[in-house]
Amino acid sequence: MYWLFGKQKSREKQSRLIDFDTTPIADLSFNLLIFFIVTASFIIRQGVFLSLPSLTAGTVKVDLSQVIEIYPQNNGFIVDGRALNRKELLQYLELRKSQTKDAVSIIHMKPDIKYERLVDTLSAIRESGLSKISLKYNES
Amino acid sequence: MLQSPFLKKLRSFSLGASAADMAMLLLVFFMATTSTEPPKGVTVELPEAVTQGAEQDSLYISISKEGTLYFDGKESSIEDIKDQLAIRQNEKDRIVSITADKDLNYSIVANVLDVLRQYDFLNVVFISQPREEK
Repeated sequence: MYWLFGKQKSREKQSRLIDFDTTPIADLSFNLLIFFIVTASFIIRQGVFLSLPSLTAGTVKVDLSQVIEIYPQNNGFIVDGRALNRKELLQYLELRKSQTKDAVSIIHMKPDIKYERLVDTLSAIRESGLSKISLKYNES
Repeated sequence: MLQSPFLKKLRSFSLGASAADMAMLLLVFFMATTSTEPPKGVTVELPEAVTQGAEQDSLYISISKEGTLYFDGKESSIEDIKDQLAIRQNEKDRIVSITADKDLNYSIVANVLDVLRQYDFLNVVFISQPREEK
């Protein structure tokens, strides 16, 4: 009889070991998984976007009245033969945007102009709400 | 409700253990593949601009004040960059992040942009620090 009781007891012990509850582990793992998925796409860097034209892209005909030519300088901007500071450029671009439909900004960059002037010009154009930008490199 | 002999033979079982295993495996995968920092090439002084968030999954080109080029954190010549872009022709849709010093002459940036156009990498972001006032 004793050996029967002992067998029953060991079977109980075995079943207790088998009934390990894995639900909290699954919950915890899924929570951590969601956390990693969400944080993986975290934006950590900021910048100004520009889409370059393809080498195979054709030419576009634009009316002269739509064109805004900007010549960034190391100490400001030259637009329509006038020297402007950043605030004035922004006001000018906003005015042109309100007057001209589909205005196109052409940025003329020279080799000795600092890179920050290009980024600043692109930023000013974006701030004014203009979206069509052309970047021209004047090597001479 | 009538049950077929086949349905009667079926037993209910728990998916708890396999779900935990699967979640753990996925967790390890995400932890292993997530990169939180872009490759560092050189420390530069960034220009200021009104910015947008740049994607992490991009190719990184850094240019120092002296004009030294770095591709994905490694010092490279313009020819090396051409080679790298030629190898990565199936990644043309990826954004190219240009991190350049604000006092750098545009001629160097123009060369890089020219190479990017040649190899059809047309989506560029100029990494900048956010401008405070509008």
